[in-house]
Amino acid sequence: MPLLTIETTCDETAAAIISKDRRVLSSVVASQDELHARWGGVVPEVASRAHLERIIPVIDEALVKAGIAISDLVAVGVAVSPGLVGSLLVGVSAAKAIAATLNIPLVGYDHIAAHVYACRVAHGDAMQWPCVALVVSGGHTSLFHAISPLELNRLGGTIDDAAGEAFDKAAALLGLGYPGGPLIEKAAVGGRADAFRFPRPLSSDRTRLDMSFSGLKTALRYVVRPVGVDPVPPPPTGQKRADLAASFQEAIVDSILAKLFLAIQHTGAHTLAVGGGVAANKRLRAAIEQFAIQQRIRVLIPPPSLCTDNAAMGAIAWERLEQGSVDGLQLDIHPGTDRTKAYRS
Amino acid sequence: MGSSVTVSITKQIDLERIARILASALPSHAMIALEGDLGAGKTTFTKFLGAAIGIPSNEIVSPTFGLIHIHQGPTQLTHIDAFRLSGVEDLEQLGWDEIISQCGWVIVEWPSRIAVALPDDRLTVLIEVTGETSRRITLFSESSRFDGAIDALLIATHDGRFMETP
Repeated sequence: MPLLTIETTCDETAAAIISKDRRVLSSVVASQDELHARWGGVVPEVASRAHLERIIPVIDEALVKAGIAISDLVAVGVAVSPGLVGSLLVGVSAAKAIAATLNIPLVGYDHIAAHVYACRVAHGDAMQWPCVALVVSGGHTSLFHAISPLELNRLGGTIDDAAGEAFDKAAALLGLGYPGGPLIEKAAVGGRADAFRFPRPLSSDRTRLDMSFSGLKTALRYVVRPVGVDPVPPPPTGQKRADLAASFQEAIVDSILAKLFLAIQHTGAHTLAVGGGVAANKRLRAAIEQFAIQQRIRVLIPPPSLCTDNAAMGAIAWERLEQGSVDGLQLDIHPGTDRTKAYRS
Repeated sequence: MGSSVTVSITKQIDLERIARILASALPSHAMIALEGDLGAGKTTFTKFLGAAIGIPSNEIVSPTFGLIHIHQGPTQLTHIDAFRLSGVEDLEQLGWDEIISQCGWVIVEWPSRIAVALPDDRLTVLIEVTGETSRRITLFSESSRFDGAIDALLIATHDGRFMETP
């Protein structure tokens, strides 16, 4: 009695088959990183066209890998927010077509809540609500008080660039390419994290759970493209590049940890759930795990394959199905995020 | 016939002053091409412009990922980042025709990526990095519709600088 989930919010086309007990029977992800690498980022028109080409093969492969027929499906779940308009529409249209044809329920879910739910998929009943949830990716950096799988109260988040976007722009400044996160992580190996003292804006502000990464990018820019130096020097190499990457990475990790500390204090939560593509970063994972030991809280971070965009985390659709809450064919997409629930102490 | 003004500033608060002056003098329908290198302060400038009309600055974040953010205020502020666009064909997806026909302010970061789609009737704001805390801000337009905004900044400055006490 499995469920099909579909995810097309950004540049990954993904589908998964999930049983009622939240077991992932199959999970297929087709990434467009290679397509986008030459542009240095996600190109929306390319993204939606590629989704369109890949969505049916990806769903087919998910069914085959799970060893089930499409007629075995009991429902279809699909990410409806947030994301790129054209990309979201491809996934939602496919989900509608399947639900209508098979006459089975259709369930829309939020991509951010699903990133948190990846902890439930990866760690089973060890994942407990309420908890503090951190979602950190190329497009999002937010902290939530997660009351239940479907109820997230935003505590704070970036006021300018997302952490993953900061990695992308730093990688561009260092001449490394795209996507920036894994490339900076690799370049940081052997680098000294204290070689450059980059700013940690808002980190010492204990009155808010917001973060800022824009000034960090600018600080890196001053190092690699010094003001008044003409022509612009080539990107650094060797030890200097490793030191810059390690120091930059450390500034992002420190900024996030400062707010995790405040969020745990503010909510009194005993569980911390982490999701999103940047949670695949090894230095961030290690720092958060160490933080959890110090704070004596339980921390859940999914394996990297469940941190980056995927459809297995769409298992959250089961939560709505079990509440008897389903959507009709008028289900609409919601490209934007709600930033109105900012926290003030 | 259009005009221009250049102001050199040494403090971030002066960028905020420029944004406030602009906010009070911009027409209710305005396309602003915001030029500047990585880290020049384009999103920061947009935050200041939004704050000047009461849009909480927390709400205005980098649109690099979302490509387009629409903020409701006394004047609607549409914030676009063309950094990841490959060209004008991507604009169709964003509902470009609708965006430029609506009332309000439309701010485009990295406008050179979609130059051919930009209306001539626009104000260009160029932020140049001249030091770690200093910037040179240039406003120019081919359209006389922005004379008021450019004049307002000319009047507020002397020889391209703000006086120390406002």
